[in-house]
Amino acid sequence: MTAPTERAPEGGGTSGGTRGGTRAPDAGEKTFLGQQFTLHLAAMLVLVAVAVWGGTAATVTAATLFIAYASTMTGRAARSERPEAAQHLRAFLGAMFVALVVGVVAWGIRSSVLAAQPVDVTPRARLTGATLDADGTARLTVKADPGDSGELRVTFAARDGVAGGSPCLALSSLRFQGTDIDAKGPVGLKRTLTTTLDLVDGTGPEVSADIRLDDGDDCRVSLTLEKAEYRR
Amino acid sequence: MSCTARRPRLAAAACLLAFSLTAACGGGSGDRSDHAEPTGDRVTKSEAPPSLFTEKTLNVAVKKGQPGFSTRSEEEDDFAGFEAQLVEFLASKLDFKAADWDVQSRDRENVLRDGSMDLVVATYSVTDPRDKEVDFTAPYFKTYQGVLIRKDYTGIKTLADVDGKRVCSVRGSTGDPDSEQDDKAKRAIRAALGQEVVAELRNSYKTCVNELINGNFEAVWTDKIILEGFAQDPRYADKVEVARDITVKNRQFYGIGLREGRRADCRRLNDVLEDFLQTRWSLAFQTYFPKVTARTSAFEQDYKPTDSEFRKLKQTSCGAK
Repeated sequence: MTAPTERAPEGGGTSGGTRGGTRAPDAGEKTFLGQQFTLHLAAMLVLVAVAVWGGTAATVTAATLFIAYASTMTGRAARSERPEAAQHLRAFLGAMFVALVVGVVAWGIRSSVLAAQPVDVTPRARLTGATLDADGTARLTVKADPGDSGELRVTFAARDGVAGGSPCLALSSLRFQGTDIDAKGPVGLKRTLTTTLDLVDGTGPEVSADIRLDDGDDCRVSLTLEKAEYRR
Repeated sequence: MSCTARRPRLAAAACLLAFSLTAACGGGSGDRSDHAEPTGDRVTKSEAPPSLFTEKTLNVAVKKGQPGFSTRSEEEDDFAGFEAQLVEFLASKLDFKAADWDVQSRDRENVLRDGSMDLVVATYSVTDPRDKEVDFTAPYFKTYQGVLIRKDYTGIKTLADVDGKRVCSVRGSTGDPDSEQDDKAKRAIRAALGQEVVAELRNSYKTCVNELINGNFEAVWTDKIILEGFAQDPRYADKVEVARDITVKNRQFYGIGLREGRRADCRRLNDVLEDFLQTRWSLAFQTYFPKVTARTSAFEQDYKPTDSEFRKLKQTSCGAK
């Protein structure tokens, strides 16, 4: 990171009038101040990027560095008696303002993206009675609070369980019901079946669903839970 | 464009732009071909085998001694029966001459794999293990399983009565435990009629039925409609019958078998089968299974795949899993 400098540009700072006690910068000084602004902005955007997209430790570190950086710059400007110091401080504060606006927007986007991402609850999901026939019921239980999630998306692997007969997977379907979900079905069976179940508002702290075989007379189907995730 | 222009930054920008455009255009066309919709006929035309139906004559494996489905007497050259009629229908619709050859159940996959037969139309149940070796069309027939017994034998009236009896089935059929690959499925087949059943395998149902009549077995186990064919055949009709109250709920769908990788031909067969089901199936059944037709008016419900079944199984036929 390039340290900000209070050095006046060569040949600058002697021309132009004054306004309200502060001399207006000439063209050379403007270029120099522009460069200062860019350098400050670049440095702060790096910190903002780390703070927004890094992990918790990175965020804390970046925020600490940002505060230290801002304190150092404002402190040095306050202690300096040189007339350019105020202009340098303005360049710094301008850069800081832009960086903060960018940071707030980026944080908002990050929060929306994270909130929309599914939460994988496969390790906390269990399927019991996974071999289904016409009279059987399997039960899916997810021991995780859905929170604000409105959907449970599940993927099953299905296998024909009848030996010595024609496969009936393609002829069968599943029906999902229970107090935690809106009833759904029939969902046509395939070797890999993915379906999304709408969760009832306020469901928690776990979610259960009963699964029945539909159109599956004389069929026996083995289900294996491959994936379960909560979605908004 | 030369990338060694006098103004290096301008040249670099121009080169970068040109490279991006090239990548975007060239890459775009490449992606289109790479991501073309995967269909069964996606094998490039140079690699795709020629259609079976460009041949004048196709070798079709059928059963010689399966009453109702396909039989050939000593005096006759041609096969007759439900499946023989189906083969004729296919030949007329797809414009080929069928050379029919007898095949045993256990050889059906082999004759397709080694190329000696083009089609197998031989009470060929679609099963997962077979589907890994050959391709099947959508089904033209469905049946549960049952047992055939001697008319004078009173020892078997329910499924529970079969347990402990000597039962015959056929090698390579769905009653043969070796027709399945994993041990659990093999055990399930052995236990389908009961844990204590003494099951033996023969090469043909005709042999099983003859040994049943001779008293070597108490029952023959296979698909009900195959057993119905023997029970109505004049040679056996006064000696054997299908046990009415016994249904083994291993549902079978019969499809036409063909070598893997002939998806376009398989789909053409599906279209013709659909036509057959809609226009000829009922009449063919009534012609070749008159006793079943006389006994129940619900024969279509029992043995004809429904439109829904045909449609759903068509989606997973022809090698599409």
